[in-house]
Amino acid sequence: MREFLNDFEEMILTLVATLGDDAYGAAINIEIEKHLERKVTLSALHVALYKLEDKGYVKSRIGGATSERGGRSKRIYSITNAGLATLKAMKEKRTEIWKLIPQLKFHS
Amino acid sequence: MTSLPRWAERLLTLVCPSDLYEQIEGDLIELYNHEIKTVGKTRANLNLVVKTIRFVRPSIIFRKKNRNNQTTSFAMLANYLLIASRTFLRNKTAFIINLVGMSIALGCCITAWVNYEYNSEFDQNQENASNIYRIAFTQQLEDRAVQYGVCPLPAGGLLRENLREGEHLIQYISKRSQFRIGDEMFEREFIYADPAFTEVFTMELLSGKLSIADKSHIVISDKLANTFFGRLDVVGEPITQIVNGAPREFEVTGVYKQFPGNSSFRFDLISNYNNYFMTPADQIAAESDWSRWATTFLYLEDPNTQDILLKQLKTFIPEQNQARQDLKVSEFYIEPFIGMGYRAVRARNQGHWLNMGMPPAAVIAPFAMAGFLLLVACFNFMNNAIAIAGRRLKEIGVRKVIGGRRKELIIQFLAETTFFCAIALGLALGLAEYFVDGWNGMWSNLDISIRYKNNLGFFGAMTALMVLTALLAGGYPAFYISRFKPIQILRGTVKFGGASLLTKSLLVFQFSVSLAAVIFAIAFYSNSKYQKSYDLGYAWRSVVEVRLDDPTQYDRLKNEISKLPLVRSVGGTENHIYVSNYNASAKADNQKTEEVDVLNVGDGYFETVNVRVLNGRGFHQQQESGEDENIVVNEEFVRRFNLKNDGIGERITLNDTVRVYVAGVVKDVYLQALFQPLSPVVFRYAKPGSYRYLVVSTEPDKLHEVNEKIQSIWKDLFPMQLYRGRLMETNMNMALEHFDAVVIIYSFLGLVAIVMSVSGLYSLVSLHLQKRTKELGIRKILGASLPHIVFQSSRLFLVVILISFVLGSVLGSVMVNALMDSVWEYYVAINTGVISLATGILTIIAIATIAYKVRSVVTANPVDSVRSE
Repeated sequence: MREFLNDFEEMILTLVATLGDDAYGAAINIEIEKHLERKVTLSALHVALYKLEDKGYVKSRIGGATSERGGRSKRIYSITNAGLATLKAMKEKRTEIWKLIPQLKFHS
Repeated sequence: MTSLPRWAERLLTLVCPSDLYEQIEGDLIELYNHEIKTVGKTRANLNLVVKTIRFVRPSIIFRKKNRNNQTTSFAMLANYLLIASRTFLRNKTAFIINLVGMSIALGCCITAWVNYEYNSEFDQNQENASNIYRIAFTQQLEDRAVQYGVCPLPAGGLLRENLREGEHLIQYISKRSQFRIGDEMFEREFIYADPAFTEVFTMELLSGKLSIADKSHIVISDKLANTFFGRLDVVGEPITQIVNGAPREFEVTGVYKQFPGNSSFRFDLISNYNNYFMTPADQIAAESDWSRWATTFLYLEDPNTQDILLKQLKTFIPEQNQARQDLKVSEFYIEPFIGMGYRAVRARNQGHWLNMGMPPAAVIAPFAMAGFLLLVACFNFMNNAIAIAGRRLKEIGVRKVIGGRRKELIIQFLAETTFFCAIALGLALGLAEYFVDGWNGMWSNLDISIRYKNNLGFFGAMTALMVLTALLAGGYPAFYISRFKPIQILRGTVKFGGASLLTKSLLVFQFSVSLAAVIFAIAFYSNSKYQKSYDLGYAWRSVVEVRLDDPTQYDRLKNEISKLPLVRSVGGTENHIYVSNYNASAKADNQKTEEVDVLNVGDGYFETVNVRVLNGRGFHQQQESGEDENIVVNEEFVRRFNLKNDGIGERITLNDTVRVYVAGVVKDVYLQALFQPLSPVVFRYAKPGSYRYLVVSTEPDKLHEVNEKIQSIWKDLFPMQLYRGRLMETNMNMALEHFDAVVIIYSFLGLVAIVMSVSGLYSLVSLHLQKRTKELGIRKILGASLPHIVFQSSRLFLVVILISFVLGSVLGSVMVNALMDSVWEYYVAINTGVISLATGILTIIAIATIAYKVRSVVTANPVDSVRSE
């Protein structure tokens, strides 16, 4: 049963896919604020990641500790096949309805 | 930064699931270090605080640890209950004492709440309350303003002209009157009111209709109907009122349900206002007599009417003050019915001819007492829980190792406590029924009952009570116990048990409260005896007083009564001590002026009530004009006016007009028992044609017999009239009954507090000695003597008890003195005698407890105690 994601979760899922081994809380946070120029609360981010894991779109493992983290380990997320499939499906659906907008001229 | 600040660590530990905690910490630290470079240190600090706090959200707090195997919370709850039950069963005595103590304390809290509810629902049954008002006025005295809840009679008709359609002015007069139904005679409060009364005020109709429009109609309460008719359908039945000896017939038109105890109204019979006057001519005369009063209610709908009426009332002031020089109105005002009962008691309204609300002390005091008792019970629970936890250390350690978080442990202990409190509350509700009955019995006119239906406030209060108690009793133990590190527990290095500072302080509190309660009980008891034996200047214990309907009855009664062998003397009087007297201003020749109390007394009065003449003489019998000029005064009068020659022969001017001479001085007579300071009293001679009372003196143990004989004489002489004779001590006893109630209450509270304190002491001593069995065993082996060991083992607790006695004595003394001072003028203040007695009792109890436990330790074979560990 496929549930669709909200905008926030979709963005996070995409970033997890992008960052690969660097997909953990703080890194995703920095990425969103830097490149997507959007303010994110760390706790909201974490909760979204947990929910994604519950739904089975990502899985997590404990990664290395660094001194920047005061020696605490990271929890690294990676996207699952189900997650990828959902992302793809959502993107396709969006393109479909986008095409239905009448008579738009695109300036690119 | 390499580590979060301490507060952040603790907050997150509390809030985050343990498997995610470390990574969350790490992310926060990493982001902080990143932000120091991007936005600067201050900003980064601020962000850190905000981010940390934002982690407190439901989706994180309630995240289940094992998302794979979910044990339902139901199963865990059942588990907790099982453990709780086992714990309780293993320590039965302590548990039972705890439970009983807590139930009693909660029962007292419930009683205090219901008492408060009763008072706050005063007059709640009145549906039109928001439109009802009462006319009242203030009298400005030198030092304060006195309020009166009445209005001059003539004002009624005049004000009525300014009312709108649908508005009412209702005059209401209350007077005690005698009635006859069939063969039975009785006396009751009788109301004369305008017919609109039954429409405006809510009265629950039970049969007939509530109409008093016709003068011959009377409406009665169900209580009266049941008492004298035995049934409620009594419409059409006749009731005869006896007024000035003559009968007046009424017919019952309706029966209503008697007002609840917390109402302004409490009457059993009501009829049309015009019945108050004997003839139409009387009524016309009265309605222009500005010296007469009535309680006057208003039912208003138009907001402007009040102002109009107030303006009109202002114009009445001069005429009214002309008629009543002694009671001058400074201002009329219109007060709302809502809250009238409270204001009357707080402001000591003088003209309030209705029921009053409870004095604030009567509402607050029960809460205070119940609160103290509840604290004692909670502290007992706390001490017990901590002591028992010693035996559960292994359980706690294992739970923590398996992975129980501190939060879960806290929740478990709190759940156990709530379970315990719920049981205690259930028992308390049952107990409360008895407590409320007892409380009702102690004060007259109280009919409080616990209402469960439609009473959301009650359930809200009960829930709050249970939660509060659970938190208070179980909060600290829960935190304290869950703090232990499992490794230390299992390794056995935890130093546990024994008396920490907290447990000692709690014990001090418990014993202080117990001592204070016992001091209260003893103080009030000894005061009761003191007041009962105080010489008030007259022999109230050996007098029967008979209220006369008219003075002509005196001679005939006296003749017959004097023939009785048990009667020592008979006297007549217009005013009667403690029952009626009036005021006057008196001025001596040395220009000293004061307000004095005056009584007009007749032949034989002084002898019969044993007012003792010290100097000069009493009144000579049957003297006509001569005695008008003579007064007899009490010793206080002589003192106040600084009279010379013991006062005999001094000239006194009463009310600036009447010249009198002091003919005699009597031993101090206290007119208001011990409630008010001794006042200067003047006795004047009352001529036989003005007697309102007849007094008879006899042996104290023959009072009832004599009273009955007088009653039968009365019935022979005046068969149509109600006999209103009673023992003079009845008046005094009503005042003294409160003492007994207080003694009972405080003895009870003291007993409960003592039992709990003793149990707390016992368990603490046990625990403490348990820890030291080895040490004591060694001492014994080395040859320590028995007393030495006893002293050694109990040294700790003797200090505790000493401190608590000091605190308790101070607390008890202060409170008792304050309370007594607010009620009486003359009383036995707290003295060392009372305190020593109370302390003595408690010391014996405490030492016995300690000794009992110590004895078992001390007589044990030292070899066993050393060998056991």
